[in-house]
Amino acid sequence: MTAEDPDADLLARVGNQEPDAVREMVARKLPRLLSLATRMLGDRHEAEDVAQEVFIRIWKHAARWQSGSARFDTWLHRVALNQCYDRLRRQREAALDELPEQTDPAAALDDTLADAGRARRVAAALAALPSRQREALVLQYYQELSNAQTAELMGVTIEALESLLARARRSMRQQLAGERPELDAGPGGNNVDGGKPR
Amino acid sequence: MTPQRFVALTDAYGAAIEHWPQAERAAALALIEQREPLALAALADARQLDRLLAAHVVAAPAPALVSRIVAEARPVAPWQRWRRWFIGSTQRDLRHDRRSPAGNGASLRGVALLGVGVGVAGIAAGILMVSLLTQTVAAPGLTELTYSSTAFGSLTQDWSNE
Repeated sequence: MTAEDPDADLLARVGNQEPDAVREMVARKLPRLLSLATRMLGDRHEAEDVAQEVFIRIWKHAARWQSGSARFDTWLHRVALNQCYDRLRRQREAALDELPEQTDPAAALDDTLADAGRARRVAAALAALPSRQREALVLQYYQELSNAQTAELMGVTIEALESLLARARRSMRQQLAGERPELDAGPGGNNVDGGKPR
Repeated sequence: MTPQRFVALTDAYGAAIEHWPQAERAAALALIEQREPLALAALADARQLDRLLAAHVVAAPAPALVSRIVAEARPVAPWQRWRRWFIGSTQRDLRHDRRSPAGNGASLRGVALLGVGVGVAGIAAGILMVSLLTQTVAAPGLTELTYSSTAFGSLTQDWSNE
């Protein structure tokens, strides 16, 4: 952890078991962790379990956190990603063990009638990405990590990261072909704001 | 920066220049200032995809989840760790059961674990009864078996805040 780590002071207070610091840490990091895990796993309940596990690790290690090269937020992402990959591996193994379920016609009808909004289609497209491409896109676009942080977390070079990101975005574009984003600027405008969700 | 490099960067990082590699931002902005056609087209294309991606919003954490996580931060006595582990694993099993028919046996594990606990307590009670009945002298030991001599009595920590 470097001197510039914005979480350093808060982490020290958590290590001292200050109740306000605990609540502040949860307020600061839980939405971020939940977003990461939800987008990686495509399952809210699993994502909540991941978030809870990660916080247990925080509470356990806060008091004896050692300064190092990695920022606390990067460490958090690493721990959360490891949890996500463990669960994704178990999901794959379970899917291989289980026979396909019978389709319930009533449920299918419910699905048809349910809100099939853009968010759902984006989530489905994200879930369909190969896991490394999804990881790259989630970390760089949704979590807003720098390219260096993302590459470090993923253990790849910047060039490899850019390749993963380009393939991920190309695949998302293909999967979402036909969707029309709500434009608030004319075509060819110079607005460089990507309109990210917060 | 060449227009081709600009296109490659939009393909990878999207339209938000502030999230591009720091070293390339100034040159990229210069190309936009020059209204380079290839760069502007790539930017518009990337912006559309960015806005689609932005539709995927994750709901805020539920207050119950926040409470559970905050509660986990409190220091706990060893026996409470077991209690938390048991309750936590049972809750997770039940949640898993609701989502997956294949996990129907999971909650049974919790019930079985409870059964084992009850069984152990029963055996302990039985041993105590046998030892009492086989003693020839009125059992002074029983009167000595006060709360302070149990495993719980040796712990003086105040758990009222748990």
